[in-house]
Amino acid sequence: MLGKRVTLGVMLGLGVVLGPGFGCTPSQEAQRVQLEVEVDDAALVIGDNDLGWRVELGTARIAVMDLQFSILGEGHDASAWLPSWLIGRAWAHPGHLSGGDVTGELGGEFILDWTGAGGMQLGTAEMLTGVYQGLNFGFRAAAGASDGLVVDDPLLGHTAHFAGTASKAGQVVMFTAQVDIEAGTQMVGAPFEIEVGPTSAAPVVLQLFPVDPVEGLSLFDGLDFAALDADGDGLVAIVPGEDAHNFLRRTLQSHVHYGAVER
Amino acid sequence: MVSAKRPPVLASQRVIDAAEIAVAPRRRSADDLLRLVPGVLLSQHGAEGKGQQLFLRGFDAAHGTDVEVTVAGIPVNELSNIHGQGYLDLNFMIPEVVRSISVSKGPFQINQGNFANAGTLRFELGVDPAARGTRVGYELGSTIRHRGVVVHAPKRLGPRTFTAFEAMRDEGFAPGRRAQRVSSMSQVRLIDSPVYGSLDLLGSGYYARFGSPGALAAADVASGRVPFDGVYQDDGGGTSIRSLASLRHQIGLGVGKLEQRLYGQFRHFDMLENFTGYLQDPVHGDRRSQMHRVFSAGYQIEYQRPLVETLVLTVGGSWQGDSISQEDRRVDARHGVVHNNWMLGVGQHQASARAGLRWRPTKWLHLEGGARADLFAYDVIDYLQDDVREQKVVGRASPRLLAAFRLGPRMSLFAAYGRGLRAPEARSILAGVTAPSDVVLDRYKGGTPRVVPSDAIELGARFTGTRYLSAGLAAFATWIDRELVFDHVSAVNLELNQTRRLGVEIDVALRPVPWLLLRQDLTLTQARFVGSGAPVPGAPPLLSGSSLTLIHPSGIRAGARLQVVGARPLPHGASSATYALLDLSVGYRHGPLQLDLQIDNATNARWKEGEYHFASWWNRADPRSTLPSLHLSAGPPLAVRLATTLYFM
Repeated sequence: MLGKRVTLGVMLGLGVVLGPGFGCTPSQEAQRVQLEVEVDDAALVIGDNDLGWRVELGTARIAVMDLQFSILGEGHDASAWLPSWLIGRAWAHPGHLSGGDVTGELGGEFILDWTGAGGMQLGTAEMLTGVYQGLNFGFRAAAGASDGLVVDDPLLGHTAHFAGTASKAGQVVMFTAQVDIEAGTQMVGAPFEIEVGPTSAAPVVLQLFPVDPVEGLSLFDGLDFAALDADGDGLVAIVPGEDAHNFLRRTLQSHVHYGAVER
Repeated sequence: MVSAKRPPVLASQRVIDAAEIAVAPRRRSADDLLRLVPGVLLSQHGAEGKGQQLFLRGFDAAHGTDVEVTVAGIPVNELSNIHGQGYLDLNFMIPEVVRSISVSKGPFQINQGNFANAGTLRFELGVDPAARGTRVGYELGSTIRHRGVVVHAPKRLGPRTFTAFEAMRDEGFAPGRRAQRVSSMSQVRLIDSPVYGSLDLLGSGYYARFGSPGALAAADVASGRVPFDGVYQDDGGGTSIRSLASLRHQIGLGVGKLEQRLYGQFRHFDMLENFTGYLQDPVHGDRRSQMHRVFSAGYQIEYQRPLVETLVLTVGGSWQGDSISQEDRRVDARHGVVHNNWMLGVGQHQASARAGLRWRPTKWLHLEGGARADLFAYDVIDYLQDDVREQKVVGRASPRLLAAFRLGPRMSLFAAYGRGLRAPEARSILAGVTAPSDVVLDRYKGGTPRVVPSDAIELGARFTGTRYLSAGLAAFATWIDRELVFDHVSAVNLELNQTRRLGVEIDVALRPVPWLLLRQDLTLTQARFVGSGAPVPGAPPLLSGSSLTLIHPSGIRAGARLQVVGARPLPHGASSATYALLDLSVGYRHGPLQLDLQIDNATNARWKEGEYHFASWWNRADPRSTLPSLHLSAGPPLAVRLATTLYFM
């Protein structure tokens, strides 16, 4: 009989203890931190495209909106178990897995001016703590006053504006490019590999890679500046509607030319 | 009240019988009966009539993804359902004719098929001799609930023969929770012959409509922008229809036994819901309309034969073919189509073969071993992509082993290993075909659809005392090497990292007097990703159930259940609240009249039945945010139902 009483006591005890004891823990939101987001020109190196043209940028501006930062979470990199010599380096490129959850954001419209001034500040991003792996944003067309552009600014009404020089075997071409990308088109999965913890405070710095540091792909691949300079005056203007524009429009959407780091 | 027809061969094996079901509190529908299974957590984020979210052994089985359920032997998980893989809707069953629920946790026996990663629950239908006759019942509930039920089970016929009809309408405890259904079930033994064997015919028809309140952002509830049990939009809801027919044939063939089953089903499911507000479509909103319609036919066969006195051979096989049409659309406030997400025609086949041996070399040792092979074939047409057609066949072999050692008349030890499986859904095989056109930009194209296996072990012990006490302990572990989840939004198969689930289940049952059963169940689970150590979202780490079942010869009967649910980890480091919920029932039968009172949530606790972590945007005057945050669906407050049943014996 004692055994039964002991058992009954244990059962009631469990019920009594577990009930109120575990019944009062409230829900908890994920931890959030706020980090400044900046733009700098540290990655803006001079580089060669696939046709041998050495490109140096004097102006590089892109109109974007709604920056998002994503974590991979527990998504599995299916190629991780393969040796690197068996599978191309492209697969090992960080950021290729665009899957993952958006857990950080800086909403709004921005002109990313990589050549205007060092340390351009965009605003304060709200981020959940976690190990980040990707950066996304949407393209848009630059507006007027709201973007601080004057009426004759070449970026006005376009998504991107580049200006610089391309040189090859002694030939030098000065070029400008205006690029249109349909508003809302997403750039997804640029590398952004930092761990954001509860005490993180270092600003996030967005960078443009005219030459992809992993595979050497150039933003200007496919462009033969000599062919574009049909009149031989050393000046090239790439505008929407041309084949050259479409080459640039495509590479500009690739995540390999963007990245973000912790300052 | 808690019994097993044969000695259990697994530590966690359990049979819940009709008597325990009859006095269980909170038995609004057959779906609710799953609450009687130790270690199962249910979460309803729609109204009664929509399949519930299930959690078992560290699995967030969503609407049935990792829990196999059969009704009268017929598999009811819906492979490739538009709303969720393995979708389970058990509301078509009438609780009064559920004769037993057999619980086999883990995938350790060869007759456990697709979706049995966390376990298998088998509902058997019938009316036991003590309850046979004709009864008419009416229930009135505080949520303006009306439910009528008629059961006719002639005493002169066996327990498998009955016919039952149910009609219910419930306004629900808050907006968006209205539900109504009509259901009929009949089972009759057509032939019972020593020459031809027995032949049972089962037929069922079911129609239900239900609301879908969606989930509320916790911040909006905290700020008073929306009531705790409110809704953002009141047009969510759906329809569920099922008709089912089955023929079961059993016959003795010499020393062997043959059982075969032929069945056919028609299923229709549609629903409209919105969980994210205007996040995806700031103009029209994110209402999603889904429709799933399927015609199924299936056949099962099993043959058992003793090879020698102590060794029994079991072989079996099954086939089911489904013809499915399914649609998924984003619609506006008037339910006009804004965007077609999916419009598919699917033909799919599931086939399995199994063979195993049951060996009892001595009185103290029982061994079972065998394997099953499962094949899944898909033929999918995508009507939105120029009728692109994709076909695929996938398969998997799964070994199963278990051993039971009787240490004495009261004590047994158990050990088991098994491989469970989950088939891919039909949409997933299109993922590589209809990938977005920007694949040239190295978008992730997703993994290859395949059968996801899980490897599980269980070690346990059970003490079966005299009539007073029984107790069990089971330790379990499940590993999934690489999870594959189909992401419906991006239309890719996401491969997830290796997971493992460890856990312990303890149950104690005490019967101090023959008419009283006290039970305590406790399940502790740790589900984690192996590499990162991060918790698997959703899985409850602690579940405790304390229950009382009283059936007194004087006619008084009562049930009580206190369930305690520990904080569940949610994605991105968030976690849910813990809660304790007390449900009660009391009844009295005098002659042909029985009265029952059920009290749900007797302490009127304010609890969150569902908690989620995702992004939504409901108030367009606020800045749009894609950051995930806590969302909740309110649990029902105190509710009372009074039922009167008249017996015509």
